[in-house]
Amino acid sequence: MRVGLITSGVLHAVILTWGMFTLSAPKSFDVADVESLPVDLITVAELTQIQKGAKDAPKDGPSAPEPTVAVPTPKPAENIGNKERDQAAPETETQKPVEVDQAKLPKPSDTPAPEIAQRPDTAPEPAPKPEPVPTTEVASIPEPPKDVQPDPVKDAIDTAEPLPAEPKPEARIPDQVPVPSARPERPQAQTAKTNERKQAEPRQQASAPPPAPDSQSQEDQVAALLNQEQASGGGAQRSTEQASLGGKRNTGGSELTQSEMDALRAQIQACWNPPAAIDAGDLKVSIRFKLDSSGMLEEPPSIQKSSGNRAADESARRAIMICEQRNQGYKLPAEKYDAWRDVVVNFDPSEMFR
Amino acid sequence: MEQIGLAAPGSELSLWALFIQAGFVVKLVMLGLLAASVWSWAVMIDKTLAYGRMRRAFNRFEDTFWSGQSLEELYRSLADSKAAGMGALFVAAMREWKKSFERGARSPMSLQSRIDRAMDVALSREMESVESRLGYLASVGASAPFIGLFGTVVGIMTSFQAIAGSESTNLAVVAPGIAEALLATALGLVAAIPAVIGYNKLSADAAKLASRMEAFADEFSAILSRQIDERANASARPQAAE
Repeated sequence: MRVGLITSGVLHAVILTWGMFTLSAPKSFDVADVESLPVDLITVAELTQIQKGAKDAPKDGPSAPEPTVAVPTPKPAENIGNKERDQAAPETETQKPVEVDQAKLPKPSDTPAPEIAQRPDTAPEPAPKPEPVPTTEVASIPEPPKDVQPDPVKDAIDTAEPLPAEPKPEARIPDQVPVPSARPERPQAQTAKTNERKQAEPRQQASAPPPAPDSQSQEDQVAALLNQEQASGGGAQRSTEQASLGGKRNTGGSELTQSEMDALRAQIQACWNPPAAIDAGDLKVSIRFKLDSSGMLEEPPSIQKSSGNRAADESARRAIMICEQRNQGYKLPAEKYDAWRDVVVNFDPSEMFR
Repeated sequence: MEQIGLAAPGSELSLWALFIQAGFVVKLVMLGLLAASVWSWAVMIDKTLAYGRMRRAFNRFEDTFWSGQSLEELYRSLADSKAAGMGALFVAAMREWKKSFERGARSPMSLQSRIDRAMDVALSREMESVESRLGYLASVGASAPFIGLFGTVVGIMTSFQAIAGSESTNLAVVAPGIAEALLATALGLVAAIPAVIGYNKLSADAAKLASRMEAFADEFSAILSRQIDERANASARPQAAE
């Protein structure tokens, strides 16, 4: 027994040690990184319909314009000759004023109020016109009773020209009250609810006050012409769509599907009466005909490739015409009119192709 | 509870690494299977050698037995040494024979049956030693796969628990634990397959040896019974002559 045990032990030890070194980790598999291919199962009809995005498709329209970037247009200088600070105050965005208005509403009443109180009195007088401007800044909506002028000025401020100083030069030119009144127009253009409200009041008041209504209206018009709304920056309309490749619609698959061709073939076959006693092999005729969108023949079918046999040719032509009349026009998918407006039918005793 | 570490992806997967990474139970199973394999091979080698020796001894004994040598002499030469196999049968039969005649047994029929019985006992004793440990091979062959399977199941169980803990189902995380668990089944099969084959081979050999011994026992019994008859006649004739 000992012999057997020793032999067996040695045998196992040998095999195990051999296995330790030889049966090491097997070589790991090579994993090829294959990207998965998305596969769509589509019917033949769908395949023939695919047109959108075809690279060689004719352009359906102009390519979408590239999005434009609005470049802020600098405002006209207000302090002429002052290179560094030609703007009376830092620029603000055109739309901000509205908010500013609301925000300011309470404030104006606090600080500038006293001034306003004085100026409204002076306002009616034509001379003080330049001054009214400052008042306009201050002028708060909540105080409608104040002179008409302050309101318009306010509006002007709203429109982003906060500084009263600027109006002065203009004011001088006309010499009259109207100047401030002209501005109110602007707010109309830039309508904000608050502005409208304000304007309604100013107008009523404006009519009452001494300044001549005629001049004011004229001024309004002039101002309206002069004070156009600022250019909005962008030129072309922006589009988020990508430049187009091919048609926009994908319904117009340009080819008839096999089943539609079969339908056409069946229609014609039903009307075809091949001349008897003619060798089938000679009977290959190609007939070309044009259809209008309702499926009616636009002109009598023409023989494109004659079989050499008049009877056969004529029978084929007749088949086309008979068929049209019998069916009141060929029944074909209207949306594919491009595909079947010009049809060539090969007549063959055994089969017909388009 | 101690967390069962999963073999990190890409770690060593050699035989030794697999064994070391295995859990306690799986290790125990694998060691047990290894021991079983060692022992079953030891049994097979031992038995093969023993059967070869026995076959040669049978041949030698039969040669001398049929060489015409006196049975008394043969018995004397064998009785001293510890005879095995056919020798043991022969010695047992001769001992019974001699005892009976030396004490003057007179009944040939009972002598015959006593000799047969003595040889049966000797034969069964011999067969016992011949077939000893063959049962071990049979049980290794039958149970080692199950033991290995047990190790695998435990290993996979623990490795799944570890996978659940690691919160990753990446195959690279799953695979090492399963591979090391499968090693247990592999070891079970490695132990079981040779054991089964060896068991079949050795039990066939043992059956051959047994039939040879039985044949010898029958032949020897026939020879002895002839002798008994002759002696009975010889003793009866003088009486009749007298």
